[in-house]
Amino acid sequence: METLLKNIGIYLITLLVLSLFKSYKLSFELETETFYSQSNQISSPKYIPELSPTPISISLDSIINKTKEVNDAKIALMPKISELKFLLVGDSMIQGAVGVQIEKRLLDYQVVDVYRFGKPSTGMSRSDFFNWNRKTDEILKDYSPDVVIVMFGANDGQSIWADKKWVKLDDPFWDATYERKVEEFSQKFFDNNVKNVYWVGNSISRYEYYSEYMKKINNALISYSQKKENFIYISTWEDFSDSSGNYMHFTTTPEGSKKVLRAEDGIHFTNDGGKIIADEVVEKLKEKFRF
Amino acid sequence: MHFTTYEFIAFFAVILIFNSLGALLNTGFRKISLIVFSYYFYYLFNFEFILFLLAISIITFVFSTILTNRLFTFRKIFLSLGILSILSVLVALKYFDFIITSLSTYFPQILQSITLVDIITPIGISYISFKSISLIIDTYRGTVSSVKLVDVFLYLSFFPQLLAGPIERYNGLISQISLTNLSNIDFSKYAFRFCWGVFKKLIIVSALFSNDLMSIFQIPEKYSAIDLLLGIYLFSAYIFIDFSGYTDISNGLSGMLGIKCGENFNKPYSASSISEFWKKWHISLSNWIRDYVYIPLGGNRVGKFRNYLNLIIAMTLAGIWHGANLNFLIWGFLHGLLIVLSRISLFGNRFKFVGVFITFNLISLLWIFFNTESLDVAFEYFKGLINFNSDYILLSYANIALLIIAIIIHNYEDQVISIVSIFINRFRFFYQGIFLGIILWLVFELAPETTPFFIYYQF
Repeated sequence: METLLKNIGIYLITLLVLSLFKSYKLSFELETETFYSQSNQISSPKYIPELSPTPISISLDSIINKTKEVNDAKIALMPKISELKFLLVGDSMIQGAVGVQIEKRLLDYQVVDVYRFGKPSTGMSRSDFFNWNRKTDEILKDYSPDVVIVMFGANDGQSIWADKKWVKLDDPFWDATYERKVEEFSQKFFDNNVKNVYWVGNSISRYEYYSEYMKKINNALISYSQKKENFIYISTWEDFSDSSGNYMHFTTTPEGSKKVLRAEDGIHFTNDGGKIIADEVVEKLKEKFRF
Repeated sequence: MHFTTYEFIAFFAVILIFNSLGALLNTGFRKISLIVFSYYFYYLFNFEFILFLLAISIITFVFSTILTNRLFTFRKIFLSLGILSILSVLVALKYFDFIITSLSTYFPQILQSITLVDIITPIGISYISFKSISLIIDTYRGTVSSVKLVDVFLYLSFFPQLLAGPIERYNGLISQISLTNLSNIDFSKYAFRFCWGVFKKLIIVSALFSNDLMSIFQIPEKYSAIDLLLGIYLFSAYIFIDFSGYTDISNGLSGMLGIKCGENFNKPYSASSISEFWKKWHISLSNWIRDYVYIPLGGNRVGKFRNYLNLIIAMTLAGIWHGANLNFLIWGFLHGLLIVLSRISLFGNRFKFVGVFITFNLISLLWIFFNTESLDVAFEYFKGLINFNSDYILLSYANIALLIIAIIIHNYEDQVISIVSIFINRFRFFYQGIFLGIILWLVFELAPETTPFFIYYQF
């Protein structure tokens, strides 16, 4: 009896000491941070070249040929993909299959360099847990990318730590706060001469409630992409939904082989799933760069 | 809720109180409270997991009860049925997708009509299944003479061993839980062992688990031979510290509850042959494979060729046990092949140091299959080992220091645990608690924001 009580005592004191230190730390640790001070600016309208009047007698073939020539000329002016340096940052998605497959595709196109850094369980919402702005400064000190590919959101369906207070998920200002976090983060790249930031959108998940969070995050990303010209949103939602719009864990290729697209947790991706996202990224890159 | 969280440490205090009350008042109460806490612990990962655990416990209980009746005529048939039932559950939940997706590449027409089902594989499924099979076979053999429903439920769900072993035997675990005298436990030693496991996981494993180490096994073609070589050594350290850290936590927790569990590691990288390595690495799995696969196949009581074949079959099964992936199969097969080769004594055992050096390097090289996603990536890794360009990313003072720390832990951790335990025991219980609390706090304080999952959770 005495030994038993002593053993329980040892454990409870251990727990008490740990709790005391923990609560002491908690009360002091929430770091302060200031938002990117500039107000949201709607990007200036794109320059639209004046078109010369089209001759009425022109044939369809010549229009097609002309369009092709213009397109070819436009493509010729685009920067070559093989002359670019890429940075891939994000959470476990970038550390895992999605990041690996994007990096592999870029290496196949013989780009100058790819640096990939993924930190699991992190995102834009919890800078008190992991400060991505600080980490980005560190990365940009040693590495100057031309193009940045980002994927965050899987861990962001929660309260945001901003302006020294929590903004809850059901707060009407949550979306705007998240968008400002994204803006603040991506602006760091633009300030460092990055041409474009590509942000991979979140995909549907096995769990309905979780998918709703991802939709909310995607909406904030889409909203920002409409305001900032060089911030490009890449949608992946439809790639992993079936014809009824439901979550798709597997797929069958046109040749008939079956592929598992998603990891066990119904959130992450397998390599086959990562390849689909890499395809989407490459398609978007083709709009701005010469392959 | 993971073992290395503050929440778990608080949760365990409640378990400890109930366990002590059970030992004082009633063994039945002790067992039932442990079952309830174990199921709750498993439920926190996913509700569906407990349905799997319930199903497998009932199947195991039914078959083992039938098999304890030694006068029953169809015992062999029921033994086969019991094993098949457990294996069916294991295959359906863990291997089905792998089998169908692999075969569909070669036979798309035949498999067109088969629909894959989106089921989540329960954590620790391979451990639970192997424990279940061992109990069924032990009742058939007569090693276990009687089973109780409560005991079977507790045996399969016992939370310290639920997620990644050790694969304890029924008699060893249940006989200890049935004891009521907990006064002989060296509580501080087990509490420190738990802290030691948390330290290994949160500090050392987190430091070893870098983006570069991950990347090197994902896209090896990007790296130089020096990096790739260092990568396999770092991974050798990483997997040992990660898995042995889990065992420290598991055995520490069991010990604090008054249950002494078997060890899973005994300085495995000091083995001078592959067969010796398997006597020192994941010992509970090696023993399981020996007792329930290798010996029933004939073991070494058969001709030489058949014996070699048995070894290769047993090790290939041990490989595929790890996961539904061709890499694991090849990994197990090559281990089997190397054991056979060492028996033919291609590399002799005269100079122990040479044996240790060769064995460690072979094991490290084979981790490439274990830690890459596909055979293509594994072969790229091997190809890269002769790519002598001058870019070194992993060759840093930090990584060299980590390797040295890993060697010290590997060789001297038993002494560290003993010395610290003796030191703690010199103080009154109040100061012991303060000491352990400060250790845990320091570990949590020094740990980075995120730590990787235990590698063996996926099995």
